[in-house]
Amino acid sequence: MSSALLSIRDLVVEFSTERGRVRAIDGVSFDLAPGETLGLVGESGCGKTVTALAVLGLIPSPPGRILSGSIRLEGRELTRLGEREYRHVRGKLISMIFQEPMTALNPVLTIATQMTDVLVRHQGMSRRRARDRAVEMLALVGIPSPEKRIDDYPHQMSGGMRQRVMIAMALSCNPKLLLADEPTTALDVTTQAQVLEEMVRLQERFGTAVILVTHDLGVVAETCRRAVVMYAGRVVEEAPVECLFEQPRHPYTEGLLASIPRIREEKLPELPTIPGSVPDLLHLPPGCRFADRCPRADELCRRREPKLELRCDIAVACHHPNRYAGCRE
Amino acid sequence: MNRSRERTSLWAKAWYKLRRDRIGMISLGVVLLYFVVALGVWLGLWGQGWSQVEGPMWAPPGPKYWLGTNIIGQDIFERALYSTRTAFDVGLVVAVLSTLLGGLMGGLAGYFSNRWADELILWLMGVLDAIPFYLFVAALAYALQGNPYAMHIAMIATFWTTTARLVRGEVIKLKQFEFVEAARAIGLPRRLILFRHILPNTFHILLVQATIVFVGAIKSEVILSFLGLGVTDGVSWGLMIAESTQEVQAGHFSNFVTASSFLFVLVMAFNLFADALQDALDPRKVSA
Amino acid sequence: MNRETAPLLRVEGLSKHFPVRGGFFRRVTGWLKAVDDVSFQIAHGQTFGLVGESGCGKSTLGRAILRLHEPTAGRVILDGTEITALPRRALTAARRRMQIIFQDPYASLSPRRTVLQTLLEPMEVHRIGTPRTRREKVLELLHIVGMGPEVLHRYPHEFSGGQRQRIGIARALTLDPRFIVADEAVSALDVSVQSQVLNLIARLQRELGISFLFISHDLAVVQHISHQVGVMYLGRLVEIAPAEDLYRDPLHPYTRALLSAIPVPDPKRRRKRIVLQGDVPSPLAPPSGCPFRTRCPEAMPLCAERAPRLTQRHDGRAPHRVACHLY
Repeated sequence: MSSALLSIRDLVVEFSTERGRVRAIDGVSFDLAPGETLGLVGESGCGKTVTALAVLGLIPSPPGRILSGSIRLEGRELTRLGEREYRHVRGKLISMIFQEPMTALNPVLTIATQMTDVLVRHQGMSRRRARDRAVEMLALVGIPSPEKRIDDYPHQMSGGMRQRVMIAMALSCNPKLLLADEPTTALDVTTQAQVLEEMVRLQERFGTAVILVTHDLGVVAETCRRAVVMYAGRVVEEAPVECLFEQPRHPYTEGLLASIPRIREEKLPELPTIPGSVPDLLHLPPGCRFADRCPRADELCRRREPKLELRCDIAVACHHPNRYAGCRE
Repeated sequence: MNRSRERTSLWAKAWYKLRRDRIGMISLGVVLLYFVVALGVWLGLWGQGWSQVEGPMWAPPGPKYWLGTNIIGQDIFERALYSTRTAFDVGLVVAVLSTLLGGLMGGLAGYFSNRWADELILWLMGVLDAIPFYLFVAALAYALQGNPYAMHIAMIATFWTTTARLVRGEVIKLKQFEFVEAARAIGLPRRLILFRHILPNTFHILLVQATIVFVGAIKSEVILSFLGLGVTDGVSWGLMIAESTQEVQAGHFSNFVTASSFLFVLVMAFNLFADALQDALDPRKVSA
Repeated sequence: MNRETAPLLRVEGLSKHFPVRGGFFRRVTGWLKAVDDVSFQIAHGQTFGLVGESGCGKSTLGRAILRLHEPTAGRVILDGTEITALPRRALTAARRRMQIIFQDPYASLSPRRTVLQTLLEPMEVHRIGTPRTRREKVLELLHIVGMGPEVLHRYPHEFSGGQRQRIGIARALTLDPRFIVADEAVSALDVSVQSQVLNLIARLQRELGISFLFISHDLAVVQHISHQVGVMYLGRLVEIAPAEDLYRDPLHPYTRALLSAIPVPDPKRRRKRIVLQGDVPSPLAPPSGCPFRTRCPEAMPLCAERAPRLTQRHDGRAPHRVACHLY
């Protein structure tokens, strides 16, 4: 535990809406080792983005607030930090890449201004030194003729280029942890492939730990070492990627994996689906949150909510999980 | 949590939000109180003695003349009540007509954006906005030779442009939405697409805009009446303030204070209500 | 040709060019060739999958076929009627036979109208049936898309994305169309819901015999429901083939790159993928010759000189056409 870079325990984030109070995430726990890449996977509304925002200390308050639980970065409790201290953490230790590269960059400032500002403020560099560093970073993320492109405005670049700039900016301060929230969702597949490749290469080079928030299990399979699967505000399964894809233990992971559109050799008569839809967080069932859509649900599942239990590197919250053959107990 | 509330239109949701806005509801109450006063004058229940000259000059406030009398012995309270009706007369007529006109013109301009209809309407708005308002009213009052509605017409003719600009922008935005394309794919005639699918989605703008115009119209009415360009047959807060100028010099403030307070409270309440309404109707907040 | 073998939809040389205005008097300073000389056919009861990246013109093509955008050139023939030649009034009547399903389930339903109002409207406009039969039809359609009568008086904002998409599909079905354009119809949905809606569309096609033009940016999504697949790049079709052929034996370098770029949910198979260099060129200034040559790993001098035409590949098998100088 002490070796973990980031350690989240029983995190609960609540939002007050006009229809009542909602726990967007309800008891989320996981660890992240230094330099590790972790996929945080789930469908919209499962709480994956809220988890990332909580780590960054960016939960909009009101209406949201962290109700309980802890987030520790290198042993330091983040949930009790003041806004000023948090800003320091965000600049130096944690960076973030957003989904929409068009809105994440300020349209009226050049790339140079935006990149050097960060370096001057958080690294105490001189303007000149910061500019050199920015050019160097842009070259690293594969932007052609960076010393020229650095004076461009965001709208002069394509979506893929802007996302590279975001990555360069995020990594320029040498953060310990990079949070990437759906970094390639807004991009085309061919560009997505480029950007992901760039991100993995740099992450290995700098030894940055990454939390990749995504709905796309394919992206997780190609870039991450471990994955945390979330459903309706809870972690349902956490496992090394190989185990997760070879034999998912939670029926939700299994269903999710089966329903990913993929190129198949033989055409199926019917695509596998998960019946029904995600429960309303305001009307959660008393037992397992997935019970209504689960083929394996029984009385026990409807009555009592399963706890996340760890067994040889795989944690699963299910009363009737799949057996994992590779598990040496 | 009662599930029945989930089965509601956006209007019902907006009303629910408005009801929880305390300042908004209080100001709505004040506005309604004024409205009742105005209604009473219309129905002849009170305020009918506004023009009678029966009391002594500058009588102090008392049981007979609640707020005293003015320079020629008219009951100030009666006059203030009747002025409420005048204010609502102007406010309602101008707000309703200018909003309808603005909505229609803005809708047409937005729907036919970048075509001649749009260009024409934009040009018209530009011309109207370029004329100084009080000069326009004076010219119109002169041209219409004492027509009691000269002031109304002038206000409607100038106030609709702001609404139209807002609606035009919203319509241009809504036109891109897929539900409008869906309506075209179904084969809906353009008239129906505009009036059934686009304009109803600008109602929140129209409603807020109507309240803002209402306040603007009342304020303008007072100023115009003060300048002698407004109300001619009747009494208004503006006329009261105009006649009070002599009184104030003589040290009698009742007429001035009464008219100003009546005006101030109504304008204040209406503005606060408009703010609350805007918050409640904001589609970004409602649909979330 | 009899009705069974004749295609339901024929698109011939369809183009849609948008004027680009600039300068003080907003003169036309150039043309954006969103769709450029596209031809294909869709058979009765079959689905044509149209794939391409954002900005390639696939959505414009779908809308030009329905004349939601007026085509600049070319012909569209639906079931023997030349849609592109119809005067406005006749076009309104023809709209009964062709419909569209949209991408964004949050923007595709009129926010202040109930489900019932939304679904009745098409029949009212075309004066089909009596109020009673219309209502029955609405209930029947809701049943087809898997919803019950309890939703009739609800408003769009009360539904999830998947449910809204079902309502959008029901609306497209109210007029018993022969042909539906599905424009990124599942792209905005979560994967578990995505496959539900894909299955629904596949079922509609089987049971009602409707032909679909299924537009998507994702080759994996298109595979399940398509009989034919066309790949589009910068306003042109670069490859058309029966679905099995295209996935088994992609010819165009762009199609291959697209296929290999799809992330595979299997960590053990991190393949060598073809990573394309650079970005899609601006459609305002497309490259000379082949539009793909600036990113093509196999570009030759010839590619810059002459644009390849879509030609049949002759090996005696299914009709597989590709626009590339390699073949």
